[in-house]
Amino acid sequence: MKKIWFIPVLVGLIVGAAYMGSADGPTDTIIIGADFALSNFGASWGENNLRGAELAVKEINMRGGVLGRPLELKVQDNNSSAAGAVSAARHLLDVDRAQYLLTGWTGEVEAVLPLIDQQKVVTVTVSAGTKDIAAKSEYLFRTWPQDFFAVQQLVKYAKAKKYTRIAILRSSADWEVSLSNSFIEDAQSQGLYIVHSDQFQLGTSADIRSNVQKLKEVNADAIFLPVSDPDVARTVKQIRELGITTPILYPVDISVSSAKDLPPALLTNIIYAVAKPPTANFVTAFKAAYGTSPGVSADTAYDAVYAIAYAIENAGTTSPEIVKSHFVDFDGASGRIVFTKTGDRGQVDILLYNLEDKSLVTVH
Amino acid sequence: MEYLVHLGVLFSIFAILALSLQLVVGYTGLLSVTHAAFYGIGAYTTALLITNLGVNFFVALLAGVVITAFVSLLVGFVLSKFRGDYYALGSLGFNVIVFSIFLNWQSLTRGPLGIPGIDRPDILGFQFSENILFLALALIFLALAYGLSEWVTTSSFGRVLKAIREDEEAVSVFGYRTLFFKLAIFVFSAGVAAVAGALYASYITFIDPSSFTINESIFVLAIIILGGLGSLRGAVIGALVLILLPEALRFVGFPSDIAAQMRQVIYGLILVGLMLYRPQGLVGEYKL
Repeated sequence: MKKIWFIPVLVGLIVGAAYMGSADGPTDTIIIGADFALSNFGASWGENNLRGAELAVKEINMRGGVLGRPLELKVQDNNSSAAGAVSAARHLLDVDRAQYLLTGWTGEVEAVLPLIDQQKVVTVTVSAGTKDIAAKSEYLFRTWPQDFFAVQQLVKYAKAKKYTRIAILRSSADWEVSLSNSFIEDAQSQGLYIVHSDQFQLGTSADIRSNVQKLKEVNADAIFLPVSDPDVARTVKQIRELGITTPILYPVDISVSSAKDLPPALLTNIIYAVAKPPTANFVTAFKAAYGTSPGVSADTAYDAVYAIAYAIENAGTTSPEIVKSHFVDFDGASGRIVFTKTGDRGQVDILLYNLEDKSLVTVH
Repeated sequence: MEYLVHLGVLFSIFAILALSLQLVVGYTGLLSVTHAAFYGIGAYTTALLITNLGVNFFVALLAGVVITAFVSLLVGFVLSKFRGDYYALGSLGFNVIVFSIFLNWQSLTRGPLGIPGIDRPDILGFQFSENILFLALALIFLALAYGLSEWVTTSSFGRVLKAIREDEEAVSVFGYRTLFFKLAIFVFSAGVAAVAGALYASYITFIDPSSFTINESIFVLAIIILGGLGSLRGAVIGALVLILLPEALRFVGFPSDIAAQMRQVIYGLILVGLMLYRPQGLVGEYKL
């Protein structure tokens, strides 16, 4: 048994640390647990989320906290996986003693749903785009505008420009599929044709030229491109390098993605949808804190912390049963946040921009 | 304590999976890198039957085992044409195919959107909704898997498997039909992996293709190599170490902006260190 001496030590360490964490007495701090993808393919989103949430916590604490109590952000990586999201949430709730949770993409939310219902944890998702996901639990709220809003506007634009033959190239994660399905449904209802739909595996395919070649052959009027960061940069690069000049319709703010670092010649004819650019105050504060512009979903993570803080203040207590009924509408970093009865973010005005000169595109 | 119970459930599921792979790799010497596919078929069959047809978990689990066993029979037959490294490559190819089916057959599997809302098991009105009860159920399945594997490996059948591992041609010379033995253990092993998949689907209550990639197959292979090839105890110990180690690192107080990366670096370094310290695995008796 000498060779496996460390196993009882390992088990003992975890049991001891978990017990000590959960056995701490009541604390004055209000703990928010961040269950984010900080490693694996979703890491770029997770890092944005983390920075946005940390900034909000810092600001709120500088103003005296919530109900006179400081906020604390406890962070656990979910490795961009469903099982990882459950492990991270379990750790946050049972060991870190988080009273509220922040989560990311749809798959992560779906995995922790039973847990938040069972333990009655008020949770805000900062980047899940699937339609009606907030309705799945009375404890679940969302600051990310559902994908459908952006899709509607892009379809409207395509129709106005008479782009009737649309091709779709997407990567293969839940967000991209959700967007793609919404786009197909709305485009077909508006009389547009999806002439080609193709996908590649997120984060693993360095070369997608075979997909792009097929895209070239269909000669579509426009390309809908639900591909998340950082894959979007090389996707756009490979599309343009193969001589495809077709307009690209992108469903979120591409100007803050890694694509912004591509040569300007490759960034022509790209129209992107954005709920509203992050407010100037938020951008300034973010730059001051991190020395860089906020990435996608940093603003919605920032708003999620404020949404929880306002709900607690409005409720006058931290009790989740009461707090969940006291979420209030407010002007956030990502624009006006209006919560529906199901805790979803209500209708959001989507603006379209041309990436080349960041000019506003009007849709009639 | 819910956190510890959660780790206990994950350990039980991966220990079952590791035991099943141990039979093929550690006892028979077939370097299979496709176990996540069988684990996935078990998980998806169970999830689809529960969510679409309202089938009881235990019936769905049984169906998962039968379907996985059938698929593994076909795959095993094809793989039996290969030896050594080619066997590993062929098995890896099968994992890629199954993953692609999970990802692309959206009308059935919902692709990357996954299958949510998978019910927890219940038997005669008794529900395993509490995690502690689920842990008890998972441990019962682990004990069954261990007992069955022990029975197989200590039987005369198991001795033939070990002989195949050492020298397949010599075994053939003695008149044994090695194809039958290799197929039988491959199918049995896949069935056990399907049980782990069913438990996983029902425990997490949500599955998507990302849980059944080649990375998962390699992870299970790493469990049995670290624990020790040719040892059932090694498979269980390997699962314990590889499930608990990354969780233990959550307690190290790294700054939040580098914590995830540091955990992975340290996890990797510890694994390298362990293999240097015990190249034959912690309690292994056979080297690849």
